[in-house]
Parts: sequence; structure tokens; C-alpha cells
Amino acid sequence: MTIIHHEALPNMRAVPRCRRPWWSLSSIKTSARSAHSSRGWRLRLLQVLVGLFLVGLWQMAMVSGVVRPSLVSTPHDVWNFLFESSREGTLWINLWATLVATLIAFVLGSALGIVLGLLLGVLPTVQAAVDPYISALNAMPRIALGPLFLLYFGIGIAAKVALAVSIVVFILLLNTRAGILSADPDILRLASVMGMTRFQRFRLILLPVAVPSIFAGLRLGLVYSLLGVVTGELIASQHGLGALVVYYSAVFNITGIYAILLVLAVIASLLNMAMVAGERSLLRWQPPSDR
Amino acid sequence: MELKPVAAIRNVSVNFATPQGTSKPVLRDVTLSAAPGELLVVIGRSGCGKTTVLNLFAGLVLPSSGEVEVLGSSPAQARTRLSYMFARDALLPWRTAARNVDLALQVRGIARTVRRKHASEMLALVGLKQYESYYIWQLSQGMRQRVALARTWVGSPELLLLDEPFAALDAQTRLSIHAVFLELWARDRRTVIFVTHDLHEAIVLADRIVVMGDGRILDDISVRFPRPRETTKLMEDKTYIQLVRRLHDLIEVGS
Repeated sequence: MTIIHHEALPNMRAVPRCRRPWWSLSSIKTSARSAHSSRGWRLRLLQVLVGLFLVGLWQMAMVSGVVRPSLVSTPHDVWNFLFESSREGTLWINLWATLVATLIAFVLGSALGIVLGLLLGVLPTVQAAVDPYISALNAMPRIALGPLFLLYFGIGIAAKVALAVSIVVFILLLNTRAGILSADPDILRLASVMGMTRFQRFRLILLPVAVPSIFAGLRLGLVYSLLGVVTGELIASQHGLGALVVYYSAVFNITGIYAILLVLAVIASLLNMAMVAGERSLLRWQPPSDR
Repeated sequence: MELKPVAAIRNVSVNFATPQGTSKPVLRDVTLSAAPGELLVVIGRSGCGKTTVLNLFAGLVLPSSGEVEVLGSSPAQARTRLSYMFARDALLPWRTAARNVDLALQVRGIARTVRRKHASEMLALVGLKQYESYYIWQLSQGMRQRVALARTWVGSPELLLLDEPFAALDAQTRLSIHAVFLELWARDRRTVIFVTHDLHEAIVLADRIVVMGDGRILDDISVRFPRPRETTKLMEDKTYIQLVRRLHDLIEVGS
């Protein structure tokens, strides 16, 4: 870079070196709150644009004949199908069945997982003794239990809830336990020196320390609950989105399958967003980069 | 008339097990006591055993031989009557500054309104009145140490143990926090045992300096500069310079 002597060009003014384009998300050194909101709308816009781009790509692929229509449906057809299906009511009945099962499984599985995780976190001897069995159970594909649950519970909501619970429990258990074990040893030493009772140590220190991990677990748990329920429905079920997929597969209604997959994706995203919003308010105390 | 010491260790030796399985002596037959209202500073190089001395008083370490007495009973029983400030602030990140300070009182079961009042007062005393509802990540290192200091003093402990609490601060911040600390101490002159490796810090704070090296006490020096003391003024005093040199030589040679 040549050094220009300022007297040679008296009209030259300093120009900021890196003018960032409007779409850049890296807002420089703004306070946490304003950075978040100004980044917010730009981020959403980008996300929507990516979505539109993908849909456009899909439509182009179909129109140009690159992909055979018998394998993949077009966005247009999928949209029409969804519209019809929702008008008839088929979509809503099955959507409701899946959602109810998902939420029940989520609540049951999370509650059980969190309690077990807390217990194992504070009772190290029990933890050590039981650990190999937990690892073994966790490594086993729970989907294999699907047919077993059907035998026990029959074709109904119980079987799919059981399957989903078996997945969610482990996620919450492991996350909760990890959260408790991640307590800062300095803080634990402080607890000791302050003369805290075991219960005080649990309530005032271990529980708050575990909260971020528990929330991460809840976020995963909700999505996996949905997956578990749908998987159960795929195996055998009267109602639910998974049952619809099975039916449409049997009659080769490709459009239908794609439509349901799309609905599932949208639900999963919405559930995730709800969890994130809840998490954000409860974890205000964390430095922004950690969220 | 000799006053009964607030805290004392007598003929204490402490050995720690090494990873190799042998035993390493950390303190060798040490006898040390702190008189009521005394600001005792223990100074020495890293590894000389000064933190272990504090840990003995706090009950975090048991002596391999000898006895430890704190406030007339064993360290475990005296725990709720003393306060310990670590080098790393050990503040709870999920609590605001004010709630961190009132943790010490909450553990003792003191009612919420009383707690909040004391915590507010304490934070005002250390100059952090507007920062009561800030979270820890929003505070600078110096501010965090002041919050930790407030937490240490709240609840009127009878004995304060501080382990290099200002080591992580820059020189300027350290000077201002010394002033804050001495102000707090001057209010009711509680017994303090303060560990540091910084000679100047030791002299400006101490009534009495105990120099340690290699697990032993090397010297026990009374510091008689009048209070209030200011490091910048003290530095011009000849006795100050002599004392600094003496301490420096002791630490240098003794380890």
C-alpha cells in the first residue's frame, strides 16, 4: 500500500476500510441487545430466501425433466395435496394424534429422565455401578423395541408413547447427569467451606448448574419424541402422520408422502423454535456467546 | 496478658500423596497462631505451603500430625463463623451480584429481607451499588473480586481467610482494592489471615508478616507502619525499603 502524503491530496478524506454489505450478519461491537435485534430480521430474511431458493430448485428440477416425476413430486402438487387434505380433515385428525402422543411422551420421558439423571448425578456410587447398563441400553436401537411395545400395548397410543419415552428418557438422563457433573470444582469447594448441607448444595448449586444441560436435553428430547412417535406409527398404528405415510406408500401416492414429510419438518422446526424461546428467557445469565 | 488466639496450628505436619505413590511433605512441624483483631499475612513462594495453612484453618485439609484449633473448636465446627475467599472468585454465574453476596447469609438460613438489605449495604461499601442486578459475566475482573470481597465480609465472620484474592488484578486495580479492603477491615478489625506472594501487598496490609519457605516458617515480622497506609507514600520510607529487601532475601534463600 503506498503511503500518500496528506498534502498531496488535500481533498482526500478517510474512508472506513471495511464497509460491510447489508446482508452481513457480523455487526461490529454493538451492545448485546441491539446486535440481537438488528441481526434478527436480517437472519430471518436470509433463512426465508434459502428456503425459497430450495423450493425453486426443486421446481426447476421437475420442470426440466432432470428428475423423473414418478420418484419425486412437484412443489405445486404437494401444496395442492396439502390443501385438499386439510380441507377434508384427514390432515388435522392425524396431525392431532401425532402431536398428542408426542407431547405425552415428551413430558413423561423428560420427567423420568431428569429425576434419574439428578439421582445419578448426586449419588456417585450408584452412578458408577449402574453406568455400564445405561450405556448398553442407550446403544441399543430403541426402534427394535417397537414391535415388542406393540405386543404389550396393542395398536393404540400407548405403544407409540412407550417407544418415544424409551428414547427421550435416555437423552434427558444423560444430559442431566452431565450437567450436574459439570459443576465448577471451585464452586463446590466454596460450598464446602461455607458449611452447606448436602441438600443446600444440591438446591443452590448442583441444580442451577444442571439447568443449561437439561434445556439442551429438552430441546433434543422434544424432537426425538416426535421421531419416536412417528416411528411407532410407521410400524403399526391407527392414526397419526406416520400411519398416513404408510398408507400413501402402499398406494404409491408420492405426493402424499412428500406432503407429510414436509408437515413433519415444519412441526419439528416449530417445536424447536418454541424450546429455544423458552430457553432464552431462562438462561439470561449466560454470556451471549454461550447461548 | 496474652489473648487467646483466634486460630492456631501447633506442630502441624501435612503430607500429601504423590501420583507415584510416595508421600510429599507440604508442611513440616509448623506452629502458627493469629491473635484477635490481627491482620496476619503469610507470604512465600508458590508451593511453600501457605495455601495449605489456610486450608487447615478452613477444614479442607486434615493435618497428618499436630492439632488445629479455630475459634476455640475444630475447623469443621467453626465453619459457619469464618469466611474464605479464593484466588479464583468462585462466584455463581447464574446469580446477580447481589444474590451472590447474599448466598453466604442464605446458607445460614437468614430471612430474605434481612439478607437483601445486608447484601445491598455490603455492595455499596465496596463501591458497586449500581451493579447489584448485574450478572457476573457483565462485570470486569476487578468488580468480580469486589463482589467476592463483599460476599466474604457480609455476615460478620469472626475469622477471614483470603488466598491470594487480588493476584489476578492489574497493579492499579490492586491498589484501589487494597484501599477498599482496609476500609472494610478498619470498621470492626476482624481477625484476618491473608496469603500472598506480593511483598508490597503484604507490607501495606499486615500487622504481622509470617514468611514461609519449603513447608517451614522462616521468619515472623511485626509491621509497625501507622495506619492508614498508602503504598505510594510508604515507598519513600527507608524502613519500608529495608523491609522489602529483607522479605525478598528470605523468600529467595529459603526456598
